[in-house]
Parts: sequence; C-alpha cells; structure tokens
Amino acid sequence: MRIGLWLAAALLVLSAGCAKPGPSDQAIARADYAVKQAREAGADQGSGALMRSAEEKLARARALYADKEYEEAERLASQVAVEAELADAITRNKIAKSHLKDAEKVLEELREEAERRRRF
Amino acid sequence: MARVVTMVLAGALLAACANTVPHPEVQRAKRDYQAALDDPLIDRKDSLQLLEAEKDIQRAEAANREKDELGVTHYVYLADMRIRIARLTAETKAANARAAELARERPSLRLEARTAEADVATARALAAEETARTATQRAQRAERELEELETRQTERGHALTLGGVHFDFNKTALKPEATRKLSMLAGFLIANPDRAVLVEGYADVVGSDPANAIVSRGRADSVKRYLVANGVAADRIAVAAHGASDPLQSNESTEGRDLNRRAQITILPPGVSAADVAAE
Repeated sequence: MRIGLWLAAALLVLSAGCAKPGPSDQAIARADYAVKQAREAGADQGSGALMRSAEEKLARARALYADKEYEEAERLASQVAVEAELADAITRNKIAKSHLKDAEKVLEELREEAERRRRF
Repeated sequence: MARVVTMVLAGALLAACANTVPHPEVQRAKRDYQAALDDPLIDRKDSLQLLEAEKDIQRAEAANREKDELGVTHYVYLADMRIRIARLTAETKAANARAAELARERPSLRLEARTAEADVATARALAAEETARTATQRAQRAERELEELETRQTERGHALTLGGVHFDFNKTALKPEATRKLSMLAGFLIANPDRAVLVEGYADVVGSDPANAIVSRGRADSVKRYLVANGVAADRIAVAAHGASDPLQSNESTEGRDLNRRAQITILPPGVSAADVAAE
C-alpha cells in the first residue's frame, strides 16, 4: 500500500516533469507549420523578404527556447507565424490578381474579336 | 493625519492615471482594427485573423498597464500583421470571385464572336445570291423583252423591225406608226443599261447618191433623237448611213420603195458599246 502511494507520487512528479516542456514549444510548432504552409503556397517567390525574416526569427526562437528563454522564444515564434501567414496571404493575393488580369485580357480580346468580325 | 490621507489619495490618483494613459501605438492599432471591421469587403464571420487581432490589442493594452513596452510593441505588431492579412485575404477572395465570373462570361462571348462571324458570312452569301439572282433575272427579263420587241437574232445582235412605213419620200421625220416600237425600245434600253444600239439609215433608189446619203443619215439621226428624247443616253446610240444600198425589197414598185426607206436598229449584245460599232 505504502509502496503504491510512493509509486503514484513518483509517477506524478515524473509526468509533471515531462509535461512541462516550456510554454513556447507549441508556439514554435505553430510557427514552423505556418512557414511550411507559406512555402507550399509559393511564398519564397511571392514574398521572399518576409519569408527570410520569418525563417531567421524561427531559428532565433529555437535557440532562445534551447536557452530556456521561454517567453522571448514564444514571442518570436508568434511573430514568425504571423509573418509566414502574411507572406502566404501576399502570395495568394498576387496569384489571384494575376489570374484576374489574365481573365480580363482574354475577355477583352474576345470582345474585340467579336466587334471586329461584326464590322467585317 | 490629514497630510497622510492627502498623500495616499494623490498616490492612488497617480496610479489610476498611469493605468489609464492610452498607448498611442495601441490606439492606432485599435483604429485600424475598427476600420477593418467596418470594411464591407472583409467578412467578419470568416476572418479569424480579425478575431485574433482583437485579442492581441487586448494583450497590448494589458502590457501597457504593466508598463511592458516590449510587450506592447510585440502585440501591436501581431495585430497589425493580422489586420493586413485579413485585408489581403478579403481582396484575394474578391479577385478570385471576379475571375470566376469573367470565366463564366467567356463562353457566351466566344459564341457571340462566332455568331457575329456567322452572321457576316450569311449576309455575304445572301448578298452574293441576291446579286446572282438579280443578274439572272435581269438577263431573263431582257430576253423576254427582246421577244416582245419582235427582234430577230443576227450576227451583230438583235435586229429590231419597226414595222410599217417609217419615213415618207425624201423626208427624215419618223411616221407615227414607227414610234410605237421605238418607245418600247427606249424602255428596254433604260431597263438594260448594259445594252447599246446601232441605228442605220437607208434611202430608196430615187434621187442622187449624195442626196440619198444625206437623207439616210437624217433618218438614222431622227431615230437617235427620238430615243434620246425618251431618256436614252446619246452615247449608247451609234448611227450609220447607207444611202440606197442594201434594199430590202425591189425598188421597182412603190411598196418596195416604201419599205426601203427605213431605219434598221440592232440591239447590240451586252458589253458591246456604241463606240465599238461606230469605230468599225
């Protein structure tokens, strides 16, 4: 009975130790995910400067986390996440605008063609 | 005691003041956030970024209360970024919707272009058909009219017989009975601008050759004058005088001589002008 109690207490202490990986771990994971998403959307081309800044900050956030500067690491990681999301949004916006421009051009050409044929 | 109370009150007031001094950057972020909320382009419901921005502004305010300047800068930065993302995303959505709309317009416009082309082709075909038909109709009508004029086909064209006696002896004026056919001829020539005529004057054998040359010429001219008076252009009428040559009948009898005093009219084939025969 006594041994059981001790065991339980020991497990509790151990699990508490395991469950405390630092508050910014999740933030770094989110930042990493956001960067990967942005890269998939083509943000390296669409918003290169922002992507480079995000990646550089992500490396710094990881270093801070390793140095147990958890608060600073978490803040940097959240900046990385929004920067990557912005790079993603800028890239998608550029693509959409270019598609719209193409569609307008095609339509304009069709309109001119119709007009030309009507006029012989 | 009173002094202590005053000091405590002043301290409390100062603390309250310090807590409520709004940070200018936070205020600006709040205005930007409000503007984004008011933007009709941004759908509040599906802008998670705006929701997050609101939370970041609250965190920035909290950091300001705690005099955490770095925290203020950090959360304002996050809020700014999220507002930009929200705007860009809304803009992207609108651009995509517009592009899809244009893509839907495309097939109908393509059809319109093709229809316009088809319309023009049809109009052209109809016009060509109409031209061909009118040309055929005109040729057929001309043939019918030539039949009505009682012409005979000769090697030079259609020879028209005026009928009866055309001219009195030694006269160049047309007799009324000759003008019936001539007015029909004038009508034919007006309806068929591509046709020209050759008018040849003849005399009977009575009289000298120079006198007959003159009188035969005068008879041809009479016919030309009549046609011109009835609306036929003078340059479509060639005239020639043959004196007493080529008699139709024997000059021995009065009847024969009556018929020899004549104007012979040939309707030239299409494309042969009066100048062409006058040059011969």
